Amino acid sequence: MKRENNVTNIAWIAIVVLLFTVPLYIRSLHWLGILTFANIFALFVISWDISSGHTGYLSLGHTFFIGLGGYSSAILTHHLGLPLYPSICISAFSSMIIGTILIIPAFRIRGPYFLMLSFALPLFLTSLVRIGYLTGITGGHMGLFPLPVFAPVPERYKTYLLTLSITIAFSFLVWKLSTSDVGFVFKAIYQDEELVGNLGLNAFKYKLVSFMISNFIAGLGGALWVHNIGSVAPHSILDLYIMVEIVIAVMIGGEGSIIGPLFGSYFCMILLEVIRPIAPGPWRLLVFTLIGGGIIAARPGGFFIEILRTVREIFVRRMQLND
Amino acid sequence: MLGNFLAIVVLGIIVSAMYMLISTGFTIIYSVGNILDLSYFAFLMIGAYLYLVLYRYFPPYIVLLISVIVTSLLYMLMYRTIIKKFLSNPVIVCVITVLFNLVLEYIFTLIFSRAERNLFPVIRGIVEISGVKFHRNMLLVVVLSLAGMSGFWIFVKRTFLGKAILALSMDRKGSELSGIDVDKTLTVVYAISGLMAGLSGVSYGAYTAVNPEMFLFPMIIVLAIALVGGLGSIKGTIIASVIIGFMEIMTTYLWDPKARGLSALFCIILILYIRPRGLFGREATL
Repeated sequence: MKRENNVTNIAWIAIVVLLFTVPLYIRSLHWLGILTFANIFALFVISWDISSGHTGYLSLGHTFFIGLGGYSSAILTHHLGLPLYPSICISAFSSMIIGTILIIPAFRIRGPYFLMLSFALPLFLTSLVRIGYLTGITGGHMGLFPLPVFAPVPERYKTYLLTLSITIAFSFLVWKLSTSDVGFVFKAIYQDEELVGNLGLNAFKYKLVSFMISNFIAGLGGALWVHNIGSVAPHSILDLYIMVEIVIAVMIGGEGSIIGPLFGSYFCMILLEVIRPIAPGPWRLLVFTLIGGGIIAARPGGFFIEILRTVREIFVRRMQLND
Repeated sequence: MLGNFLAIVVLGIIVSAMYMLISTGFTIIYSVGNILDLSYFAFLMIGAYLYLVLYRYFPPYIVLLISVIVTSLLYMLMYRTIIKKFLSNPVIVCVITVLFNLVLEYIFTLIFSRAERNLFPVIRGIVEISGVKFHRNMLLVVVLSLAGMSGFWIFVKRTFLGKAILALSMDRKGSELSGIDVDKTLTVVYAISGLMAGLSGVSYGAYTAVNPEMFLFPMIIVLAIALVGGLGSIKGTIIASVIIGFMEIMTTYLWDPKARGLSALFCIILILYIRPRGLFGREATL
């Protein structure tokens, strides 16, 4: 057991070092931009996993919480002139608070209806943003720009390192949560919510906590993204396709385990870029969806988490044989 | 003033009838088969595009008939090939059907481009009632929708297959024990739902426009109707579609045309706070 842990720890340290040193050997601004976005996307993915992936309350409305964080930060920096980092923090909290208040009544319905309700949320935000009354604040269809960014384009590696640090820190925290007793209850809710209640645990409270954490990280991710690009608009941040990318990334990785979706998120982002020369324009998303759907259909339990477990098994067995 | 009132009433009837048809097709799949099949909305879109494409080749009524029947057959095919494989894992069914919707969106974008197309009406012309003008096509939509609903009702009450469907929606195990062939019955349900999807697609496409993203909005509407009416209750669906339909007409007509989805969402939030099981539902969850 200890040997297993040592192997895993070394592997993780190696991966983290590798990721941090990326700016040294990848000088292409294009790819640094892609990887920066992949870091932020990873935040979206782990936040979806900790709520929907663990508790089984699949929500298709994650872009709502992301958008909430993004728009809050945009409005705070653009209209009120708040400095960058406090604005991001406040937006994360606002996404958490507002998002959770809105999701509470939805806990009364289960399964497919929860899914459809959550699906309606981003569309609701899109309509809200476009209503004539509020366009002064939200920028309506065109959105708000320019917004303060972390670093100018030539110094993109700074943004990359910043987002990487945030992602690694939060991934670690979320992973700790997932493997703790609280995370265990989340997964139990997925399996049999009534039984959890019968055991004396307040399922509602646990669901609430899982979504609160999820909304916080999603809001944080949204704010980071908005300041990465430098603008916010309904069709960019609230696009349905981002939701699908998140779901595909989590499903490919293996829902309910934070690590699988992490790998899944980077895989998806890189895949999307790699497909670009082969499949231009609308073909790109079609091909991506087909590949993603195919992998999910082939390995419904989670492709990456299976690979990771197999790899670990192989390593451990080799070490045992060497004894 | 009377003109306004009449316009709202008639438009409300048109929209309610249309929404009734859309939501019934979806809810029967869920209440009978316990399958959350979101690809229903993709088939709605298929029905609309079929009508668009075939219009120049055949007279309008024939085109309508063909698109509805072909949609139904395709939907049955979808059930037999793809959905049956994943029935044991409802989450995967959900995900796969959503992905199917998106794949279809992209395919249609590639073939037809993102542009909105308008459907040629089955019946041309405008009818004038007390000074307010309505498209004859939309009135036809009301007639067809009500005919479809009544037809379905009679089918369920009078025929053996219909009673089997009813039984399956109440108690799956009991039905199986009574000798009802679940697979065959579900196929029939899919066929009926496909007919409704096709007809809804043409109606909805005639009411708004046809574009590759047209499946999104009906999803919210159907959710609102299902929640307000109560899960698993046809009576609830009918009454809820009238409520939602009229609310939408009133908000778009009297307030802001861009606020189209908001009234539905408002109803959802309201019903969740006041009565989560819906007006005629049996319980809060299914």
